[in-house]
Parts: sequence; C-alpha cells; structure tokens
Amino acid sequence: MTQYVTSFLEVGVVFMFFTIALNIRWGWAGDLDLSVFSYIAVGAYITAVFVAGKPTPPDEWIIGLRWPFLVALLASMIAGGALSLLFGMLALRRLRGDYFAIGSLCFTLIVYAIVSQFLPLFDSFQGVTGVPQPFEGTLKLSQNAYDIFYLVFSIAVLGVVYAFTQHIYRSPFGRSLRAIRDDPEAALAFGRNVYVSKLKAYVIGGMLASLGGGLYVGILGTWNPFAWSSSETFLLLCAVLIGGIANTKGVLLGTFIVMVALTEATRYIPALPGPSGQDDSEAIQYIIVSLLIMAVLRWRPQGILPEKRDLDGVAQSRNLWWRPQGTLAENRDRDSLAESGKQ
Amino acid sequence: MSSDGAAPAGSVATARPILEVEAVSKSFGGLKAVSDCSLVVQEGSVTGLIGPNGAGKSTLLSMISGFLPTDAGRIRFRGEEIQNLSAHRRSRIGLVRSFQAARVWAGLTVLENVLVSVTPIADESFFRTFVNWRSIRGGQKIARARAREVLAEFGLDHMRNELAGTLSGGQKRLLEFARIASMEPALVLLDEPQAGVNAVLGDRMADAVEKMNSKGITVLIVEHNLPFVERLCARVNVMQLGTTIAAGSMAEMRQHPEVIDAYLGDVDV
Amino acid sequence: MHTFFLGVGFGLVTASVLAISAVALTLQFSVTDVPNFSHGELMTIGAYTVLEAQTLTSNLVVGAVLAAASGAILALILNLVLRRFMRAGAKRFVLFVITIAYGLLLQNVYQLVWGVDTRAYTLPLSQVHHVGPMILTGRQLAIIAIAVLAMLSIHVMLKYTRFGKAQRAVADNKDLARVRGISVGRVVTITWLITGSMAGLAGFILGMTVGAITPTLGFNFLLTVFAAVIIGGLGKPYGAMAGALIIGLVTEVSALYIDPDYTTVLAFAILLLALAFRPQGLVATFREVQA
Repeated sequence: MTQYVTSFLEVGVVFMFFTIALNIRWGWAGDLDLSVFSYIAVGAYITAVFVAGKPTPPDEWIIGLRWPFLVALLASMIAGGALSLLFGMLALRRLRGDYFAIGSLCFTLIVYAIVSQFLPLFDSFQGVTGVPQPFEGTLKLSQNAYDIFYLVFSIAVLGVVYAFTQHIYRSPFGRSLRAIRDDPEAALAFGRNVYVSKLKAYVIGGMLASLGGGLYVGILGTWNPFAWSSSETFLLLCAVLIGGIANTKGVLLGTFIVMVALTEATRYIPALPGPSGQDDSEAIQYIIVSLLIMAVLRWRPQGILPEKRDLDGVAQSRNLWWRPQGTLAENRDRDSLAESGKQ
Repeated sequence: MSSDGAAPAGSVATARPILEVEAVSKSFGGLKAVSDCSLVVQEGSVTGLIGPNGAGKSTLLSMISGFLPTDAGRIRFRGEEIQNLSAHRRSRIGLVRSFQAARVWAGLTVLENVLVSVTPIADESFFRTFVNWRSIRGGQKIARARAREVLAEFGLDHMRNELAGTLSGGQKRLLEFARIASMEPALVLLDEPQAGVNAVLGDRMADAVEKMNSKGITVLIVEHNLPFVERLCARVNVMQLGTTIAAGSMAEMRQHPEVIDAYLGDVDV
Repeated sequence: MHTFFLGVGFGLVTASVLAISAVALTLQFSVTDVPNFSHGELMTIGAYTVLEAQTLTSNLVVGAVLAAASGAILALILNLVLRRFMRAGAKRFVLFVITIAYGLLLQNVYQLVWGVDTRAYTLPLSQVHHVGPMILTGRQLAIIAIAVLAMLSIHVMLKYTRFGKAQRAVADNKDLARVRGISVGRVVTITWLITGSMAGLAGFILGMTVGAITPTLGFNFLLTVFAAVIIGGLGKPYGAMAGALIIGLVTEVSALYIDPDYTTVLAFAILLLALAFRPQGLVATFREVQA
C-alpha cells in the first residue's frame, strides 16, 4: 500500500514541475506552449545519458559518463535552457497566441522526429535504458526506504522551485511579465522589451521542465519516444486551467486534482466491450480531460484559485530570505483605518 | 474659445523643436496612408494634429512612436534621428504614446498598473531580482508611494486594488493618463483622447494635460474634438490625404481656405 | 530523371489531398478567425465513415458522399459549441483552446468506437497508367481529378455565386458585411458546412493514399495542412491551393533524395520558418500583386 502511495505522490510531484513550467510560459508570459514535453524529454534524456554508462551495441547513445545524479540534473537544466533559447529566439519575436501554439507544436514534432529517427542520439525508439538509481553508490537503503527518500528529495527540490517562482511573481520582473501578457503593445509603449522578457520566461520554464524530466527518469529508469505522448500535454493544460492559470498554488492544486480524478475515475468505469480493451481507459481519461477543459473554460476560466491580487503592491507572502514587512491583514487594517479617517 | 479668453496652455513654448518629422511616407499594399508628411513640434508646447477621417493622423502617430516602420522620411527627437529605433526604446528616451482605445493591463490592479510605469526598468532585471533584492525592494517602497500620489491626483486612489479590467471606459482613460504622467516623459503623443468621452471627463482630461504641460512635458494631440484642441493647443497642424496642408493657431486655421475646404467647412466652430 | 517524375506524380497526389483539406481550413479561418485544431478529426471521421459504409456497399461514390456528410455534421456541432462560447463572451484564444479540446474528444471517441488497430478499405486493384513521364494508378488519377474538381467548384462558388460574394465580404470585414445586410451567422454556418464536407472527403481520400486508418489519421496530417495554409496565407483559398502544391511536391520529391523519415521534418521546418519570417504567407495572391 505505501508503495502505491509513494509512487503516486512521486509522479504527482514530478508533474508539478511540469505544470509550474507551463504556468510560467502560459499563465505569466501569456503564450500557450504545446511543446513542454520536448523539454521534459530533453531533461529526461540528458539526465539518463549522464548517469548511465556507455551503451552496449547495438544500442547507441551520446555521452554515457556515469556522473553523479545532481550534476546530471544540472546538465539537463542547461540543455533545456539552450533548447528554449533556440526556439524562443525563432518564434517569440513574431508569433503570439494561437500562432505561437501552432509553431510550438511544430517544433515539438520536429524534435520528436529527429530524436526518434536519429539513432546515434538517444537510440531512437529503443531509448535509453538501464539508468541506475540516483544516489545508488552513496546510499544503501532498502527499496521502501529509498522510495521515501527520493520522494522527500523531490519535494525538497520542488519546494526550492516553488520559492523561486513565487519570488519572481512578486518581483517587478514578474509584474512586467503579466503586463506583457495582458497587453504587449501597451508594454512596449512603456519601454518594456517584450521579446526579451518573454524569452527569459520561456527559458526559465524550459529549465524547470527539464529539471522535472530529470527527476522523472530517476524513477522510471528508462526513457524512449513512447513516453512522450504529446497528448499528455493536454493533461498539463487541463491541470493549469482547472487549478487557476497564473496562480502557482492553483496550478499545483490542479495537477493534484487531475491526477487523482483521472486515476480514480477510470478505476470505477467497467471494462467496455470495445474492439481493443486494453487502451480504453486511456481514451476515457482523455475524453474526460477534454470535457473538463471545455467546462472549465465555459464556467470558471480563472480556475479554482484565481490569480491573486497584489493588494497595495505589498507582497502577500514573505520573501523567504528577508524579514517580512507585516502580514497582509495588518496592512489591510492599516489602510482601512486610513480610509475611515479620511471620511 | 477658452472660457476666460486667456491664451491657451502651451503658449509658453520654447523656440527649440523637440520633434521634427521630415517627409515621412507609409503605404499599405497599394494605399498611401501617409505621403511626404512633415511637421515640427516645439518643446514645451501643446500642439494639435487634426484632419478629417482617413487623413493618416493615427498612422503618423504610430510611426512617430515606433509602432509602424516608415517607408521613407526622417523623424528627429531632440535632434537625434529615431526612425530606426524600436518602440520600447523610444519610450525609454522619453517619447510616450497613448492608444485610441484606452489600454490598461486588465489582470493587474489599478495600483499595479501605475507601479509598472513608475518602476525603473533596471529594477526588472532578472539577475538583480535574486542577487540584489534589497535595493529593488527599497525602490519598490518609493515606487508605491509615488504611484499612490499619482493615483490620488487623478482621483483613482480609492480604486487602487480593483482589477483594471473592471474599470469603466472613462476610468481606464484616466488610468492610462496617470501611467503616462507618472513616467514624466519629455513628449507625450495622445491618440484621440476624447473619443467616446463625456464632457465632465473631458474637462478632467484637459486639466490633466494642462498640468502635465506645466511640468514641462510637451504634448502632441491627435483629436477630432475641436473645442478640446482649441482650449489646449496654441498651435495646430492640419492633415489631409496623408500630408500636412497647414499649420498655425486655431484662429488662423479657421480662415485658411484649404483647411476650410478639407475639414472645417460644415463644422460650426 | 525518371525517379524525379515519379516523385512529382506522388507529389501531385499528396497535393490533391492537401489542397482539399487546406482550402477547407483556410475558408473556415477566413470567416471565424479561429484556427481549428480539430480539423484533422473532421478528416478522420470521413475515413471511418467509408470503412463502415463498405460493410453495406462497395460503391465508393456513396462512400465519398457519406464521408463528406459525416465531416459536415461534426463541423456543424463545433460551430454550435463555438457560438455558445462566443455568446458567453469568450475571447478568440479561448475558442482556439476549445477546438483543441474538441479534437482531443473526437480522437478518443474514435479510439473507443473503432479501436487503435490499423484498418484499411477493401479496394479492387487499380490499373497502372503512364501519364507522360509519370506512373500513376487509376485511383491516384481519380484523386487528382477529384481535387481539381473541388478546386474549380470552390473557385466558381467564390467568384460567381451570391454566397461566395457574401463569404468574401465576411472574410474581408465582418462589421462592414453586417452593415451591408449580410447575415454573418448564416455565412459562418454554411462555411462550416462546406469545410466539414471537404474535410470529410479529404479524410476519405487520405485513407486511400496512406492506406492505414487509425484514430490519429487526421491529426498526423494536421500540421502538414497548416503548413500549406500558412504558406499560402491564412484565409486565402487560392494561396492554400498553391501552398498545397508546394508542400506536396516538396515532401514527395525530397523523399527520393533524403531519408523518407525526415520528409515530415522538412515540411514542419518549412512551416516553422514561414511562421517565423513571413506569417502572411509566401504566396502573394493576384490582388496584392496588382496593387
């Protein structure tokens, strides 16, 4: 039982990296990115080939250094950032909204085609296998203890990422991103370099997605093109929309809901007498997802937890490294006193 | 005529031109929207740009502010050529514009809207956000105070925590004004600020323009509402069919035969 | 040289399927301003409909008609859904996401109903013909003929019928058209009808050329269609025809010289570059050139 729970939570935590990345690109910078999974895959692949050894023929893949897991994660982030830069420089100058979405889908399919066809890169369809468990040499734990350790480790990393993203959100930089999202031309009129800011957000998103991908391959031990179903992008989309687009807490909530709802929902649907029984649960999941997306967009497009208002420009949660400026309630009271004083 | 017969604001202009547009042209497909157009705006003035619909005024304004590239011609701002400068850079050197439909950042609060215009761009550096947060935070405190001052001037302080998207049209225009004023630019281009605005709000906006100008900000107004133009602008340029046909005071324009022909003919001024 | 013309032949066939599909997509975009991400699924239903029809009759003409009808029905449903959202005040981008969700829905419904396994039509053998330096089967020639016929019909419709003029007016400027008394809603609905029918027909033909019918048949083809549409200029039917020809020929001829697995990469790369550098389309229509 605990094994099931830990592995469920682990996958959930990893997916939260992905939705945070999508949220930064879509909820904050404003462009729907359908290529998130390319960055996840790149992260997974790079971590895999850094941690794994040289391949035994006929398998082929690049690198293969047997380096420590943390270094591999770093390499993944750099690779994800570089790829983001490449596509961002091409697309973010001219494309917006739906055109950007189409272009990003295009990009992800190109990357997918290259990776799955070009053998020397990541062993095309066989993928990278035999990835050793992270921290294998240094920790000697039982399988159960290791699973819990890895879960705690992932949550810790997620915590750092969460603090990082929230700090951005509260900063003038984060606010300028949201202004750019709401009206890029007005932002230009006020001196903001829309292209550069969007590029920054895009690269950050890419690095976080790749980090998540690296953590993911740590659990799975292997990665190949079949893990990349571009349909899973829609799960992320759904999670972001349901939870509350642009609100990081909302996005995490949405991820949790989508995961729980889908795994539990399909458990109770009886096996339908269809032509190919084994794939039906997945199809049903996606049907539910698509209906959910339409329902949320119709009746609650801001999501369960809408974007938080920055009341009076005061940061609503503390900056973790400096002393807090007073709680929100205190500030609110101070203001209402001032207001009633005026009247 | 302005109410007390006094000279309109902006008549204390200096002799120095802050903006020089030289023979600028722009075509869309086969249509020449702006053709060999020139005008000069004196520093410290409030200048008007009027003309019938389709004269090319908004196109010219977009070219001056960098939102449209010129096909030909030169634009000089404070003596320097800017026609190849990108829009956001022009804003940073002090050339700011408004839009025909008041554009605010709907998902940000009113206060946040002004915070964006008041925050120095250097404070939005990603690097400094993590390495030098203390100075940014200090700067933000000052920015907050300034933003509230500006909002109070425009009567919007009580709405500061409302999402800008929920504001009425008139309030959005005021907010746009507030943002522009808070930047303390050198030259402001106003694109039909009176479009769809009632008389009370219109007066308020005229006051705001006068106040901006009294601080030394030059204003160029593209507008159809002639009383508004007359109250504020000592000098007016008239465009028709893509080029300027006359320039001078409103009184002079009312006598100018070409202008009457093109535009003022059946308007009861 | 000989293989080159073989490639040209295949290219024409691909271009034929592409043309019908691309013109459908671009017509719809010209009046709704929303790129339809579920366009592929409108094609797929055409293929599956013919599969089902084949259990009743081997007449392919009947099959084609049914394919068009099924595409039209799904398109009209989407139109209704989008209308609902528009009335509730949804912005254009939301409508785009709705088409994505609709496509996802349809694709998985197909999977539920017909399964993931590859299916194919049962077709009689087709005679091989030599057309100049090209070698094409009778079926392939028929496909090209259908496409040419469809393009001509669209041309006639746009230029000479009252609906065509109304459609062009709406595509040009919705508000102006409304002011001139054109019922924009009706034009949009009929355009969806045409788009859906053409998509269904294209799907039927696609099933023939590709040979393997799966739930993702249309979706796999979607980006290629987008490529043709965007190269020709969004909303420009004649541009889409040219775009289809370009993409069709490039992908098939290049397959002779580079690894065929990379031909789709080539098409996507062209699309990406077109989007990035000339989103208004590579092909200038006659109107623009004249001005």
